[in-house]
Amino acid sequence: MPVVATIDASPASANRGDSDAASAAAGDRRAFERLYHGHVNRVYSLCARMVADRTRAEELTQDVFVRAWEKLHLFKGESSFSTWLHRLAINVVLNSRKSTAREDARFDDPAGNAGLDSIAGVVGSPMAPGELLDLEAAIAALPPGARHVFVLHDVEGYKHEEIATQLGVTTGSTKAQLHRARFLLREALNR
Amino acid sequence: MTAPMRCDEFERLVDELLDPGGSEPVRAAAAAHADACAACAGLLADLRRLRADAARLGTLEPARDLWSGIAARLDTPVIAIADRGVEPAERPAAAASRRRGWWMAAAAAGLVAATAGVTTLVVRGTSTAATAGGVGAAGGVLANGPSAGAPVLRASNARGVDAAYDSEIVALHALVAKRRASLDPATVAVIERNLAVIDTAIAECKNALARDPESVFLKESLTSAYDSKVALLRTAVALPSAE
Amino acid sequence: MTVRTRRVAGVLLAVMGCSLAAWPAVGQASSGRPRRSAAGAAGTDTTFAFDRQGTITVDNGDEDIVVTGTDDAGVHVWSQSGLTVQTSGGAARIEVAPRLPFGAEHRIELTVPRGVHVVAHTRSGGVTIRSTRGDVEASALDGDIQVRDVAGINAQAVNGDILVAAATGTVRAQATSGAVTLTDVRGDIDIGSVSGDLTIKRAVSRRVNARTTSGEVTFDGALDANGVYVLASHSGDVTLAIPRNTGAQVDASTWSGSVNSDFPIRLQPGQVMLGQTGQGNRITAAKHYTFQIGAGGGRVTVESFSGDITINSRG
Repeated sequence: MPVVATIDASPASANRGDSDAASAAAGDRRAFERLYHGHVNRVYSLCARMVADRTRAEELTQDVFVRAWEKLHLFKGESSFSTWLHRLAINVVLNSRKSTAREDARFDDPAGNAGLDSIAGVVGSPMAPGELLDLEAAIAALPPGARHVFVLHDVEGYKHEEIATQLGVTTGSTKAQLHRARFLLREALNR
Repeated sequence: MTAPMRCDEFERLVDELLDPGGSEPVRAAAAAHADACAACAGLLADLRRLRADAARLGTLEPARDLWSGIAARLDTPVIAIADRGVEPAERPAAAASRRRGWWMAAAAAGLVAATAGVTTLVVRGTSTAATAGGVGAAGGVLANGPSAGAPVLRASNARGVDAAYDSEIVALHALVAKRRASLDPATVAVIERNLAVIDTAIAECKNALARDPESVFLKESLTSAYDSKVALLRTAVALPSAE
Repeated sequence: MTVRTRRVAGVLLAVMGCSLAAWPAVGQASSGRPRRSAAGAAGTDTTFAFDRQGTITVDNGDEDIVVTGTDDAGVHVWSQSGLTVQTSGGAARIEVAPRLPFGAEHRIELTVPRGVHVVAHTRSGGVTIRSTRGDVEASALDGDIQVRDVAGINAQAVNGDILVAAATGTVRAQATSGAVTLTDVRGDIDIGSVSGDLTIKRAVSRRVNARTTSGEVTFDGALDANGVYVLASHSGDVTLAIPRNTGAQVDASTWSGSVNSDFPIRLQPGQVMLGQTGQGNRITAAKHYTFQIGAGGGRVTVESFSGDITINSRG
């Protein structure tokens, strides 16, 4: 029986995703599609929780991948592709706020009520005693500023310094928004 | 001695116990208060549970497949066969000529003669298209097989390849544009779609050559893609008119 | 195969008393005329003597062309449309009238003496040529070209497949949107497509050039020790299946694909084994491998920009 020899000409790294990123950066659409399938849910999750609107999140997810395709040549490999894509997704989501009247990301909105989703159990609205919200719904009901920071910090795991840089605010602001988000969520979930 | 932390202070500083970093004395004071105050301990426990639950949230899935929408936005713009105006009605004899072996008409019209001069600069030894001479030649039309492995004249770099083909491609596009109005739209769509496929291949080769400019394989891949584009444009030029 | 071609082919083969599923077996000699509906008052149903050394050209608008070689000495032409038949010396030219009678079948059928050179051009129809055992030229804008039991062939299809079986001469076939499939070819091969697979099975050829932009390339056949073989795709996989005891000199190149081989790879002095993969996780260089299989012999070039290259051992 002849010896089976397999020469894998792809990069030695076991990280198939980053290998696909390199291929996609060279214009390989099939590799990019593999990247899409490998990362779409995480990107969509970020978008959906940040904007609290699943339909818009789908549109933003598409925007993210189109932008990723356009910017792949800038991916230098210093971080994993996943990390790079995630940061790009955050940028896309945050930049999209400016064109949406419902999303008011002003940190100086003390009430933070602008842009609340019209779902039952909106934080701050009267609720029937004993009615509980699950965490996803509660996050969606947060005011936008608080929601953004909570999602990025507690859900996605970014540090305050990173969040502040992406949002263009101080860490003092991000800490304040996170504090507010946690207390609102506790109140909503403990009803 | 520092006064014990009050509940309102604890409430304001509880995040110090939840997140890494922060002032060590403040953390110690807050922890001491939580040990002594059941209500604040409850608050701390709730927030710790919330943070843990948030970190464990699973990924959401979109309700529909989003790839097709993405792919549509990624597609290379179709290289339109430019419409430069309606072609005057052809004489019947000319129309009949076009129907007669439309790919042969390309040769009959001197098309290849007009454009082959540029092509030969980078022509590959292996034929990739049914060009003039492949049909109807006396003495054995099919006698000449492919000359695979024949020496290939290569441009020294991608830019050189571009330059070698540009003028021919521009000339062919102009010829096609003159005829577009008389061509079957469905066939034109097929041609345009496939020109886009080739343009994608050309772009990919160029991107790769930017990283490995000395690669003979990549240069030949680029040349081959250009050959395909020229051949397809020639096919388009020689298409029979729709009736 | 386009839907229309499939439907028409089914009608045709039903008339001929054959089944569509038996296409590979179709093409057997038939000295009798096939049964078909009447040509009608406006149609053509005519026979004329013809030298088998001559050339018959069928040039029409949007009809299917079916040509069958027989042992008869003459040419028989059938169509429900009016045809113009011109003969001159050793050549015959058949052109279709511009308008078909209402309800007419869009088909022209010919039986020709074996050995005749057949030239068939159609726009939105298909071309089927079998058992002529002479050279064939065929073109179709929107339809398939199916050729069997011929000498050499030169075919071009814009939106349709090209299928060639049992050709004894050089095969040249170019498709734009369509696959090219060759079976049992004994001659040089030069085929290509833009969007379509290229498949070569049981070929005995000393020269093969198969290139596609978007599609897979498959070669399953023997390699001549003095042969030259080029199998290339831009974005599709390239697969070479050759007998276990084959010898070849292989040159494989890819940008982002892999190279896989059933054969042990033995390097000779000066041969290249591994291409550099670049820095970190980014591809910065194409991969190029040259190696020998068995005792060497035929020169094989396999290339794919982004697809995988596979060399399988048969038997």
